[in-house]
Amino acid sequence: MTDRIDLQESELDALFSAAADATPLPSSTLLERVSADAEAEIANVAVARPARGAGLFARFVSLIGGWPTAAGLATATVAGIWIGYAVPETVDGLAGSAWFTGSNLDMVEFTASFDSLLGEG
Amino acid sequence: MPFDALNEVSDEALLVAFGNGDRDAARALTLRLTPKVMGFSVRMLGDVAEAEDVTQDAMLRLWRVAPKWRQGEAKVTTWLYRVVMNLCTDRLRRKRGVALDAIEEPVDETPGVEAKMTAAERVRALEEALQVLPERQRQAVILRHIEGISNPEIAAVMDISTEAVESLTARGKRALSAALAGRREELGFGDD
Repeated sequence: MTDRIDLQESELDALFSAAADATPLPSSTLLERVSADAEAEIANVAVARPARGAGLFARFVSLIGGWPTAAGLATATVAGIWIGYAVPETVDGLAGSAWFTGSNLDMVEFTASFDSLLGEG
Repeated sequence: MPFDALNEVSDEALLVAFGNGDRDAARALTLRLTPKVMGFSVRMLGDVAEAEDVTQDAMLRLWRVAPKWRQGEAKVTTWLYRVVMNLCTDRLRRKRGVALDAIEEPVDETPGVEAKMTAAERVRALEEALQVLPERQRQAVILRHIEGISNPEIAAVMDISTEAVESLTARGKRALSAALAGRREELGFGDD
């Protein structure tokens, strides 16, 4: 048996280089398996997320009929606050007109009078 | 989004995008990372079918961790190599049922072969020699010299110091040189 001489650094590097160049590529079947797992995870996360994210406010919005209703409600609220705070002239004028004054309201009689029944006969 | 547009995007950003349900990110990560995982697995296990199973398992773990992934905490490849390393270790231990760090004898000296080995045959010889290295040396040598990963990153993957990585790769290379000494003519290096 002859003496064996260990490989030199450069010889070993040549082997490493050959191995790096010959990196085995994943088969198309494996890539499909990996992609299918990714797709399944995306589906799982999509299913889990709404349940986890449905907070009190989201449930309230859903209860009143969704975002269009919520938007209408918000608009009405803002308008009400603005009217109450700014007291536009038209509203003030309307409130101060004769139609809504107390004295005039006293004179309005919407029900039929029973005075005629108190008469003779 | 055009697929090419994702070539410049980091693994970390793609993983976060995948966690938010981005299918383009999933495709880009699959094509970018599966070959790396497969290459490392097959060299660690020396068996393509087993390496494919490990690759699928490691990528599945990556998909599952994505929604919780926070950019800046770790490199995706570091995390992934560590997962692959652990999966390979589990399989090797199950298969062998013995301590892997027991140093085995190098491959037997084979009779000289006249013809030079092709590159593929050189690769096969190296892979055979890698299989007889102690597991930690094999991991370090593959990651450093075949996968081309830096010593600090290997240290993070293996959870050891950079000095320990250097020591493992040096011992691994010495063992490989000795193991392949009897095949130098066969490998086309001549008989010095």
